[in-house]
Amino acid sequence: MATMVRSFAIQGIEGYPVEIEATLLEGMPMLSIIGLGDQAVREAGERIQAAINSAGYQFPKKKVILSLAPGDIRKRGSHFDLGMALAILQESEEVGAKNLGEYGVIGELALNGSIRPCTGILPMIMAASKNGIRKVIVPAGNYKEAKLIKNIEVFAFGGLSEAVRFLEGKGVSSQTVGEEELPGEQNSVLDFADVKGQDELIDAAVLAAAGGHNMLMIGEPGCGKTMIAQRIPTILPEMTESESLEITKIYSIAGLLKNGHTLVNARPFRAPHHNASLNALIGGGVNALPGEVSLAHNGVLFLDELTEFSRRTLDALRQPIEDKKVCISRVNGTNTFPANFMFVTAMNPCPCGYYPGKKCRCTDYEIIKYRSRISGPIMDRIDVQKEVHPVGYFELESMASSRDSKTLRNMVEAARKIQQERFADEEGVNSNAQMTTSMIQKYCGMDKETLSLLKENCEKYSYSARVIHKLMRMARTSADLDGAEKIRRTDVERVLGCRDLDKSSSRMMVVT
Amino acid sequence: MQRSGQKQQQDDGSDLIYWIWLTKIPGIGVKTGRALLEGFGWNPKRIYEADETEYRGIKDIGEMRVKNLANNKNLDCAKRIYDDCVRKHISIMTLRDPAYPDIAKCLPDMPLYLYYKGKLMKNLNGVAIVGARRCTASGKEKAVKLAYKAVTSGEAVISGMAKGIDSYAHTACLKTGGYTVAVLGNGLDICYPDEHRLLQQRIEENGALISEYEPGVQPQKVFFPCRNRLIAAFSKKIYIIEAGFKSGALITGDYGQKYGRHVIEISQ
Repeated sequence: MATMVRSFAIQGIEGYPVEIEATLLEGMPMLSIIGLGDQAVREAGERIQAAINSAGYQFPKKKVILSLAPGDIRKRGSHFDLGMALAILQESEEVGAKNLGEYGVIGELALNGSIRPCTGILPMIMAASKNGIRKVIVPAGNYKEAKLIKNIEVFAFGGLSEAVRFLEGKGVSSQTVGEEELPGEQNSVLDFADVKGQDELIDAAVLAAAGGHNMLMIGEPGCGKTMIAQRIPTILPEMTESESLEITKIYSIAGLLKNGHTLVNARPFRAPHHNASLNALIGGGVNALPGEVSLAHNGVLFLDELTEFSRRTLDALRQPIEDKKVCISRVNGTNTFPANFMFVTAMNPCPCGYYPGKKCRCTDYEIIKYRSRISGPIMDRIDVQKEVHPVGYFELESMASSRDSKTLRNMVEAARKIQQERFADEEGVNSNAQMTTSMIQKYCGMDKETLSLLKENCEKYSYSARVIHKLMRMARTSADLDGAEKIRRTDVERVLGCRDLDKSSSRMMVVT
Repeated sequence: MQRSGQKQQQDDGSDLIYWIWLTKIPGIGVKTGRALLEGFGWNPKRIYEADETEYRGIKDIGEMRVKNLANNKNLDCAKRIYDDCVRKHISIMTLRDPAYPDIAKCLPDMPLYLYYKGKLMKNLNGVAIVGARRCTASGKEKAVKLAYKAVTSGEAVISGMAKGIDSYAHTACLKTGGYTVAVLGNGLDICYPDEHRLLQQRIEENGALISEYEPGVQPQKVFFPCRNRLIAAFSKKIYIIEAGFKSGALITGDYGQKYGRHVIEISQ
């Protein structure tokens, strides 16, 4: 009868259980692995043979068949090695492991018999927990990551022979490398206290963070756009545990977990270069790996030099911005990755970069053309458009920093709480930015005087109905930040200053 | 098609073909052309039909030009240009045409005929606003203000549809519902610079495009001073904004002074 060892595989960001079966048949000594494995799985044979020999065991001189079940789903990765080796050793009665079927086994084998850490541990352990497996054997290097899931017993080993002796009950205990808690990854390096002389922009950033609005900064080179963007994650609300786990899962699959594979507890900040390909941004590749939008899940995706991105790449962002997830279809299957990020971006105001400064000599047609590189649908999804003005270096010296990230985060958290209560009954809406037109009518009441101020300005700059809706949504957030019931005059004044690009474009002397 | 204000009714443009033929003969420029036309009663068809002895009767014509006139009796080229104009909805106004602005007609060095598109006002009460292509924001503001002022006082804004000041003047004029004329240094079926495609269309709808170059002629460096000369000739007042040293706008100013126009220079 065949020996069965339990292991796991990854599809998308979810793990699912895989059963590794080994059986020995009479015939020419050989090893065949079936079950739709990729190149890494096929090469496992050589690794297993070498590792078994190095660990001092005998590889059976029979026809060995290894099967990965379910047999109709493609599997990839080298983490089946350990499970396969154990199955072969057990089947050939080379070792006498007890209760092998109780364990989930993950690990790549080195030729010298040691066990190497692998990616995607967290989702696999989660799959174990879901499928009622209570004990897992993982590489020593993955111990911390595996330990993130409670109510699972994790046994970590550095070598094949240790794992075998443990299973045989020969008194080897689990090895844990660097078990002492590393201090949690702190984001304290970045703080809004470092930003001086950009109070208006910080206000806009707080507004955007509080209402879930996307943000565009327009400014000449070197005026602090990137500096502000990098600090936005520090004012977003503290992550919940489930949010943390979700990000860790994505990072685990992408192989990006650092710091001894611990939990990601700071909101991610991703700033891909404008040369990024569509697949790098959205996700893809042969195995459909998560892209930047998913790596920025629950955090900030910052696209600097927005106009330099290829139009195709940018337009691909429409769906993830709207749906908060991406669906990637490849030969090997369709994967859905979460992509709930705050979209922050920066661009220059004109081709030379200095409009409306004295240095700028661009014609209005050139400026309009430059700005139209960003397609309407993308611009449509950006509520806050703020011009950034350079601050003189010597003025910076004397300026006091206004507020630090902690105070700002408290403001944002308070405003988000109000919104959560407001939208408790509304399906799929949890921030002001997602309000539909009917909700705007319901929640964005304002008095006559305030409304007339809004009307006046909208007529002045000939804003479309869509822009007016954006202004209303932002005004709602602005009121929430102060805990106000109704939208006040000051809120409208504040948000009118948040459509700088529209304003500047309406001043262009061009025929339409 | 504008017909020449002459005795015969010639709606098929056969008369215009002779005008085009005349200017295409090597050595015949504005000056000789005028002399010939005056000698033959402003009827280019008669010039075409005349022989060498008749040509010799024209003052200062020279033997080479006489030979050229006598040996170039082929109308194919002129016909082709004329047909091209008809196809591209480009009209032609000759010096005898009432549409030819009076303010320019009296100048001795005006082209014998001009290509145009759009509506041409008979009494062009025009102000030229020309200047730097790479202008500053304040230059733009000045151009826009001057254009607004011109519109309110019922003047036409004339410029060269170049980038910068020229385009702002045209655009400001169009935005306030004024009448504007663009003088181009290329064929009227060509848009230069490319970014002004829409502007060119709007000028055609609400004003006029003028050029001395037949359709299909690409802009060339040497054409622009000639274009500037026409701008100066058509306007009674010329504003020059932020013109650089040796710039085209200054050439316009020089011609303006030569033609006795009121030239106002606004520097940076």
